[in-house]
Amino acid sequence: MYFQDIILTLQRFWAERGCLIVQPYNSEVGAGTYNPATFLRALGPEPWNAAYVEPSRRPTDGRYGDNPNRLQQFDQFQVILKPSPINIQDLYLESLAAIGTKPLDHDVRFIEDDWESPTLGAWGLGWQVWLDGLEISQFTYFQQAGGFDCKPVSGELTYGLGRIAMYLQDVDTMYDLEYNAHVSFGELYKRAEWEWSTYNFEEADAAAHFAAFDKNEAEAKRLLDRDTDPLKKLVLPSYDFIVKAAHAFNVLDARGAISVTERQRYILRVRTLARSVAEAYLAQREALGFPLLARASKAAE
Amino acid sequence: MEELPASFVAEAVAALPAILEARLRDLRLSHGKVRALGTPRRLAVIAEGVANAQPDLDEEVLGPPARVAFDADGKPSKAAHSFATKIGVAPEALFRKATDKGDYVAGRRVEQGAPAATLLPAVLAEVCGKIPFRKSMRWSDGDTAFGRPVRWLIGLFGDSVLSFQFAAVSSGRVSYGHRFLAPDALKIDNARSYVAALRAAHVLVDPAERKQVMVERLAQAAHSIQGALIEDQFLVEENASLVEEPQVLVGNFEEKFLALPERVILDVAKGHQRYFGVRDARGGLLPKYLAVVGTALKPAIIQLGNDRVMRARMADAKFFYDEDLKVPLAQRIPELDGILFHKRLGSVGNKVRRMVALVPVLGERLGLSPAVIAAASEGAQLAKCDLVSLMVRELPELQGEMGAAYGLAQGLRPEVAAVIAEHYQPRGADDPPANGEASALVALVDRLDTLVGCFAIGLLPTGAADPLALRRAAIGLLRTLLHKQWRVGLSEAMHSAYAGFVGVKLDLDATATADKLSGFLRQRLRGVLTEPGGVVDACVAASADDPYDVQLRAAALGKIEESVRAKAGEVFKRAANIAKEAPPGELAPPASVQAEVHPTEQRVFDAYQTLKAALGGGTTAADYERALNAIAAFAPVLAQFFEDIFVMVDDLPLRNNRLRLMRETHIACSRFANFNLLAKA
Repeated sequence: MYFQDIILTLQRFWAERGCLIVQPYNSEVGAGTYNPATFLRALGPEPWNAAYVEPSRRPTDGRYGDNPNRLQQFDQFQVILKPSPINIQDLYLESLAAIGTKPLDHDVRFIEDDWESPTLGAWGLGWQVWLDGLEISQFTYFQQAGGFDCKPVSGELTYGLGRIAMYLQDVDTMYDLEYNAHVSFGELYKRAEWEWSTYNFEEADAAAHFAAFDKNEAEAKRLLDRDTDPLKKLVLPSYDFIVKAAHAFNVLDARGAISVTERQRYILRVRTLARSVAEAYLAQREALGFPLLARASKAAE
Repeated sequence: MEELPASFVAEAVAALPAILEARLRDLRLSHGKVRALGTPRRLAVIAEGVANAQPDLDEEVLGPPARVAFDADGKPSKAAHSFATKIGVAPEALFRKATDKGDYVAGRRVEQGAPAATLLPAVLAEVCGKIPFRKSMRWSDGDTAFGRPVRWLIGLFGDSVLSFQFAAVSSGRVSYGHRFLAPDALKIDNARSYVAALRAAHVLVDPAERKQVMVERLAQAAHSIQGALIEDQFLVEENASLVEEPQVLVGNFEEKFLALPERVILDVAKGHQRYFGVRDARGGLLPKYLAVVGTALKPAIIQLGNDRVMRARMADAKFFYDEDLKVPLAQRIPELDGILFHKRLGSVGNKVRRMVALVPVLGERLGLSPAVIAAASEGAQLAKCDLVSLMVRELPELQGEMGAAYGLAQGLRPEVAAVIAEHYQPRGADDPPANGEASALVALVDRLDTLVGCFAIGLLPTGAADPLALRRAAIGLLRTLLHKQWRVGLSEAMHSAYAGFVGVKLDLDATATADKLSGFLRQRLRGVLTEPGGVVDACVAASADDPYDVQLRAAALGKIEESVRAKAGEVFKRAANIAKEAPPGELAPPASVQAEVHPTEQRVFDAYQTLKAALGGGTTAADYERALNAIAAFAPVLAQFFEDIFVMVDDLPLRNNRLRLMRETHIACSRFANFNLLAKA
């Protein structure tokens, strides 16, 4: 199965089960969780089911294209189901079958793996899913986001597309994956990995990124502070600047520009922003009367 | 349930019987044996022979005092009425009852016992809510917290269902077998058939059975490749809690990876994949591993996948190893300035420099040879270098061992490499202290630096919170000293260590730090020494600056029979109390202060002379045994003295001389132990 067919199959699979197929976020994120379709929608009482591919960037993971399965940019397939359905594990296993992996032929297991994002003030409990000893997915029940208790709890599934594809195509490096019949993963990403690794580790302008962090942080705050009326706060633009600040921090981290002690302070600054935006988002949805909740109860009638 | 974390299973199974028993006891429901079972996907508790009903109740209950319960005419008061209502009798049925505290009103409560079938559903729901998990979670839109989401519940009393609800799930008699091999609904008739029904559904619900089957299959698998399983209790427990029906597969990795240190291979296999290692007949590692899996219908496919993961893990480790070897250990020293030891105490680089400075100071005080001190100094310098290696960053538990392996490969002297590997010992209660003198010296210096620094900035462990593992550091320090039988003045050593923090802003001065830390070490010493607590306390109270000396005294005192110790304690306590009254001045023979000497008084004076000679000034084990035996022999003589002689007579010179005898005795003996602490209460 070609790399893109895995994506298409998973999208169809989850669309058929009521998920909204949304698009990747158009700013650099470290994981699919940063997409507002997960981070913000996981907050509050409204139901939400969505799936999407998220090209995630982790500058420190760059290896100049030399490592077979570690890249600074990689695709995750993210599913968020709120409230987490009772048969969520079964749904996940069916999705594996849909991409050609019958659990009965393998050893599939759910191994404890708790998840925490210090920058997002978010944590959850769950598993990594092992397929014959290979970790192919992360499975998390969100307990908190932005420091707020999640109620109801969302179930988050994150498929490591590269690993699954390597397994399905029986290749030893991600760059040997066939994206479709004509273009390899290596053609698409190998040069990019070298360029981005060189940039992140060697070339990134630290002063510019420090300045960007400060500016984005200030802008994010300003957009929330501009009015006390929850409907006049600019929640989404503010969140955008928080994501940009977090990315600036990640680049600085890879560049080795942040000392151990400073690192904690920067994380705390992002977390503080994440908490404010979560609070503003919750207030905004409440002021709007939690529209998706009303719609869901109407649908139930 | 959805899969519980491995460690939760064993803890829940251990806790369940007591939780159920407590509820049954509260309800007066008699029962037989209670046992718990569990896998990652189910927890069960089975009580045998639970009574069909509570026993009927027929008991006398005491109410308020009679003066409150009856009015002047002897009629039941309002208080009596409410008491009667409470115990369910008519006010007329109340009667007077005489007790030690006066007359009370009383009544006879008669209650028919309720049937177990009506009481048990609530009990089971409560038991579910009381299972302890280290971390609980909520799911979906519920409020219940549990280890992982609950999906089905069974409640059975005999053959009938006990209906209750927990976590929005209703109980019934339907279970489900193995997730993939027997996923259909499975009706359970009763508790007796539970284990067998699940066994048929590919679930070994009894952890002991599951472990046994797994261990047998591991042994068979090892045998099938002419190998011997490398036993690992953690892996056994962990794997048994990760599957419902253990299957074992043999996997392979390329022989070229055997060039890696054995510990690396085993730790990578264990830490990441929970695989067991296998040795050949000559004790060498085989390029194979054993994987415990939960489903194995297509073993070849599953093995292929696992082999691929193992190959990637080994390739990573090999990459780390080769890259690490390119950098001589000594070249890594500057990098240690980039790792924080503690934000107030500086970097690991700072710590290493303090250690290197302290090694010769302490080494010379311990009388170690220049060669040992030189090896220790070099070892201390390199001890932490592997912290910045790729391998240790990935597998922190290999710290020390990797540094030694890299050092040896790079031509470091074996005695220096040994210091790097061994200075972390003892890592825990089961790990022996470092044996080599240079290693033990660096082990001491490392811990002393950590303890003194942390105490000087007020980082004392409180309750369960001990993030810097100071208790372990203290115990490690004490065990090392005792193991090497090294004599040291701890307080002086603490001052030397304190001097190393020059330029660091500390909260306490050297003396205050040493006092606090000495107190902390005294408490730990009580746990490290094997003699009874009272004996250790008595010896520690005399002095604890030299832990090995405390051990020798405690061993000598511990050899004396407990009743003898207690008697000596009482009499010495009495002597110590009155000794406070003694004026200055020399003790004189009794005949010099009185015309007629009581034989007991003469005997105690003579015995004291013998005792003083026996005590001597020695500090060997034999010296202490001789001294403490002499003290034990002296105690009855002193006791007789208290029987026969009144100390506080009016004759002042006589009284003072007797008081001086008490003082001299007290002083002579208190070097060994504080005998007061041996007295019974």
